[in-house]
Amino acid sequence: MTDKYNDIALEFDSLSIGYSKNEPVATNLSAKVSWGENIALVGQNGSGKSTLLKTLSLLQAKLHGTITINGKNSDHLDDKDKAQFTGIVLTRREVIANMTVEDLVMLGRYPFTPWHGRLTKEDLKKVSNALEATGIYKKRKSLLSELSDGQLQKAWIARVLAQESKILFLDEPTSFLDQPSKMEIFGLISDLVRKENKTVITATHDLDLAIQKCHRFWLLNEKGELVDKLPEELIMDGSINDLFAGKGFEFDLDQGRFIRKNKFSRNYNIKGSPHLVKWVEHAFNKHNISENIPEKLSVTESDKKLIFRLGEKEFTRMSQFLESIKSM
Amino acid sequence: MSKTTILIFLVIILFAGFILSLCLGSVLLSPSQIIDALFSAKSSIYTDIIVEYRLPKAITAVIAGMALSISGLLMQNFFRNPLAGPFVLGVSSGAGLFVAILIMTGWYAGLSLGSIDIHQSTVVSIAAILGAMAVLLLLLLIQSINKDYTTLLIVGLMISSAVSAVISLIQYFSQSQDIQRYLLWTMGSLGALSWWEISGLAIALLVCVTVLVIIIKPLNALNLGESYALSMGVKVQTVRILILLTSGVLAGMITAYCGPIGFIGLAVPHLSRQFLKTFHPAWLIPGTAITGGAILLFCDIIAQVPGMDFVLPINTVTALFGAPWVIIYLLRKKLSGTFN
Repeated sequence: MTDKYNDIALEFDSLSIGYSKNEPVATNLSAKVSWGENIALVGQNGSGKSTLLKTLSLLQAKLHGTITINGKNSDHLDDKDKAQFTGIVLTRREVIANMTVEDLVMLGRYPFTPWHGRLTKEDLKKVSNALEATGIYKKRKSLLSELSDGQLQKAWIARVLAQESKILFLDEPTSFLDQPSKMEIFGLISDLVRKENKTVITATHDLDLAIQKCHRFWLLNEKGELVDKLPEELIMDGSINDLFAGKGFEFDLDQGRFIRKNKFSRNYNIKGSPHLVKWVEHAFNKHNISENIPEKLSVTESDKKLIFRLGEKEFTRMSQFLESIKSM
Repeated sequence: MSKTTILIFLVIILFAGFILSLCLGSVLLSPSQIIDALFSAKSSIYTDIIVEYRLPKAITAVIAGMALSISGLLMQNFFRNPLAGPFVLGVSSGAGLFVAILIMTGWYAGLSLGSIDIHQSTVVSIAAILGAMAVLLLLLLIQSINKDYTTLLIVGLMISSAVSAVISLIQYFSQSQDIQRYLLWTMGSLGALSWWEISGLAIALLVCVTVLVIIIKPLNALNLGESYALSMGVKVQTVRILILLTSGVLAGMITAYCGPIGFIGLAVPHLSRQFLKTFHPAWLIPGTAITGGAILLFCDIIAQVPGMDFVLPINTVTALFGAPWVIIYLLRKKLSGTFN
C-alpha cells in the first residue's frame, strides 16, 4: 500500500440504514474492513443487504452514524473521491438498447472524462484492461442484448473495473446464473482481491461459494444485528443457521451445505464404499424410504457400472432397485 | 452505413424538403423563380408569396418538427418509456386550458381587436405559453416531492385528463363561434408566425439545444439508470430539472405558436433510434431533430395541397398522412427492447 492509502479501507460505526428514520431497516451496525479483503454480506431476504450496500457505496443517504472511507469521513468526500473509492454493481442486469459491451465499459470512465465525455488513449487502455480482466474482451463488440446472463454480469463488472474504484460493492452478482457462471464470478472476485488488492463486499445467497471464497462474512440476522465473523467460525458456532431460521433447514457440518432438518439421521446399514453409500442414502431420503428396509443391501461399482444388491437380487439400474425396495 | 453518413443523408432530405416546400403551393414555382424572388433587387409578384408566406412557414415547420421531436426524445429517455411524448407531462393541455379560458370566457373578444385568424393572435400565444409554464412548474414541484418516475408519468397523464375535463366544461357553457375558434386552434397551424416570432422560437430552440449539449455527458450516463448515474457522480437532480424544463419549454413554445401538433414527438424518436442504432444522445438528438424537421416539412407540403387554393389543418395531416408511413416502417421492427 502506498502512503495515499489508510490501513482501513472502510469503517462504519453505529450506522442506521433505511429510507425513513421512523422505520429504519437496521440500526447500530459497526464493522471495519482492510484493503484486499473479500467480504460476503449474507442474510435473509429483506434483512437489508441491498440497503447496506447502497448506503456504504454512498448511493443512499445514511440515517445515522458515520462511514469512513480510506480514513476520511464520507460526508467530506467529493464526487470524484466517491467514484474513485466506491463502485457498485446492482442486482438488476440491465440491457440497454443498441449498447455494446465496450460502450458500457467505456461509461465506467465517466468520472474522469471532460464535459464531452470523449476517452483518451489512457482511458481506452483501462477499458481494455477491464474487458480482459473479466474475460469478455472477445465479446467487446457484441450488443448487450446478445449476451448470456453470465456474460452480461461480467460486462457490468467490467464497467465498474474501468472506473478503478478501490472498494467494490456487488449486489447479488450470481443471482439467476448457472452454476459454472456463478463459480466464474466468484473466481473473478477472488482474483480482483488477490491481484489488485481491492476490497470487495458481495451481497449473496450463494453460501457454498461464499464459504469457499470469501475471507469474512457479515451476517445480518433476524434481530437486525451485523455478525462479523469468518465463515468457518459461523459454521462451527452454529450462527450460520440464523440464515435459514424458521425455515426447517440447518447447516450440515460434514457436508458443508444446508439440508432439511432431521434427515440423514437414520442409519440404513448399506454395505459398500462410503461415497457410494452416501448417494444411495440420498436417494432413499428423497423417495421417503424409511420403513421396512431390508437387511442385506449393498452397492458396488466397477468400470462405471453400478450393481445394487438386495438380498439375492441384483440391479444395474437404481430406479429398479428403489422400486423393488418400495414394493416390499 | 456509418452514423455520420446517415446524418448527412437526413440533412440532404431535410434540405430537399425545404426547397420543395418553397416550390409547392397554390401556385407552383420553379427553384429559379424562388432564387429570383429572394435575391434579385427588384421585387417580383412572387417575392411576397415567398418572403411573407412560404419561407416563414417552411422555417416554422423545421423548428416545430425539431423542437417537438427533441422534446419527445427527452421524455422517452427520461421516463424510460417508449409511449412517452412531448405532451405526457400535460404541457399542451395546460396551454389548451389557458387558450380555452381566453377564447371562451369572452376576454378574447375584448383583447383581440378584431383579429380574424385565431393563429395570428399574440394574445393567444401568450396565454398558451403561460398555461404550458403553469403545468411545467406544477410538475417540477411534484417531482421535488416524489422522485419516482412512474408516479410523475401518471400524475402528468392525470393532469392532462383533468385539464381536458375542465376544457370540456368550459366548452359546454360557451357559444358556438367561440368553440369553433378553439377547435381551430387545436388543429394547429404553421403559417401564421411573424419573423419576430420565428426568431424567438429559433433562439429558444438554440438555447434548449445548447443546454442539452452542455449536459450531454450526464444525459448519456443516465442511460444506465439513476442509481448508476449517481454512483458515477452525476448531479442527478439538477439534470432531471434541466431535462423537464428543456422538454417542457420546447413543447410549450411550439404549442403556443402552432397549436398542439400531435404524433411527431412520439414517433420521430423511434425512427431515429432505428436509423442510427445508437443509445448515445450526442447522435440521437441531432438525428431526431433533423428527422423531425424533415417529416413536419413534408407533412406541411401535403397540407398545402399543391396546386389547390386551400390548406388542410397541419394536425390532421400529421395524423392521417404521416402516421401510416411511420406505422408501416415500425411494424417491421421490434421496439420492445427500447427500454427494458
